[in-house]
Amino acid sequence: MAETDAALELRDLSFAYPGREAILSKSSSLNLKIPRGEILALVGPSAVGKSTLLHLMAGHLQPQSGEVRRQGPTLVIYQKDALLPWLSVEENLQFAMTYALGASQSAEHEREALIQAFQLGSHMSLFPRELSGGLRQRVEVARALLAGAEILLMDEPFSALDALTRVRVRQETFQILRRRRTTVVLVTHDLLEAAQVADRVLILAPNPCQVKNELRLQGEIPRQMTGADFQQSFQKLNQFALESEQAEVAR
Amino acid sequence: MNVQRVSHQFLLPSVSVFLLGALWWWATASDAASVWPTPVDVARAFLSEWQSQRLWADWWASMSRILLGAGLAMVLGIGLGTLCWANATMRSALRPLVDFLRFVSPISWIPLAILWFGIGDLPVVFLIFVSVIFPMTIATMSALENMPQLLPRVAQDFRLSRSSTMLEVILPAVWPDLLTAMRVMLGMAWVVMVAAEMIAGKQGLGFGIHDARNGMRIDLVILYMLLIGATGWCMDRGLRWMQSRPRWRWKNG
Repeated sequence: MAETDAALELRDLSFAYPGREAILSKSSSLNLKIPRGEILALVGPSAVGKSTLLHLMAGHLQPQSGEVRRQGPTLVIYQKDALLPWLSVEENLQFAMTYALGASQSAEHEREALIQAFQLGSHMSLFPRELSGGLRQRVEVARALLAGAEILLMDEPFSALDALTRVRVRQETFQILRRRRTTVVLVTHDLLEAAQVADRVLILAPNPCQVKNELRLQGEIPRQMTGADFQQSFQKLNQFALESEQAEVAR
Repeated sequence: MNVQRVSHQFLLPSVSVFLLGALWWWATASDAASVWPTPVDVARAFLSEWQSQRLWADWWASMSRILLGAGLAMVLGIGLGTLCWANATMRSALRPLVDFLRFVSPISWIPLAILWFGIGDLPVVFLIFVSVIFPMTIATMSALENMPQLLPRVAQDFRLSRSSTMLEVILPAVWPDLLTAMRVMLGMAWVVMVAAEMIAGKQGLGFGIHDARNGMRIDLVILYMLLIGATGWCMDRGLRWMQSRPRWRWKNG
């Protein structure tokens, strides 16, 4: 893939929090290229540095060495929803239009299309605390897209939802993201989630954070959980995760 | 509106006010020679003061002082608290001073206020101001420190300017806490104002009580007390109403 096609690129990245052991060391610095429109899942155990990596990608943290190149407006979708609680759904969307990240502000028809796609029409006058967890996440993704985000960095965005809602909201959200060719980096510890929505999965190992395994998955995204593509992807992913775990224990 | 809500909002408070009035009536009406006025005496005093315009002149003098003194102190307190929160140097320099001054009773400033500003509006406004600004600064800092940390991050993600971050995100994020602080401060300022007007005022509700006591008009003393309580209650209800708006209720569920 040509270099210019990368929506997000990490080059020789190293990072340590002040006074603590390096999360990304210089000796095994991270290089990563994420093509435009790809959905990449970062999978790994707790405290491996997944969220730190995401904050480096977002520009919230500055690397000690190396660089992060973002080719397009980028927004983060957090684990806990980050809607402005004093604004209604409509006003939260208006906020995104007012402070759009793209060159031009989103048009009204774009707003209407997103409201329809995320089925928000009957909730526009409600405040975030009056919405279910799944609906809040849908509003947040709609807000990000309305702001013109071409790259979404998602930090376990569905982990606060119950199991059934999680599968449904994930399915609906990624259908829209794929249709719009949005580049997504999804941090998760849920292999099911990665198997359902990712083009590519990186399995991370800790101390320091490094890519232990890389796996490309086949099939149309989001994969139907009853379909063969999903079953295959999940099995493959399980096997890879197990091998990575065994290699880590042996080390 | 269900029966329980109506009973808690209107019926029970009305019953307790009625019982207090009845107790007052029973305690004063039985002795005709008593200096203590009955509720009817106070109602008569109200009518005569209403006609003479003095009651409203005193009420407005107090209201204008509280609006000026407490309003200015709240605005500056929010500004100072924000400055201390945002700037570590300012915090280190000012926090101990603000903490110290917060514990100096506003009443203890009365001699200095009279020496500096004489008798009249200014010393009272000054005393209201000092009673509010230091606690308001601390309350603002505390609200900012306890703000959900994701919200400033959202402003950063959307690349808001500093002024937009402050006006569109930070201030609304702490507004429910500031409203609570304002309710507390306003109650405190109201108490200080009455005391200050008794000593350093030439007009106002506090001065009205002082003047009525000198003339042994206990009916007027009670009338002014009732007006002070009713005005304070109304101001508090106004702020409570703001707190209960759907937009600002998110912190309390």
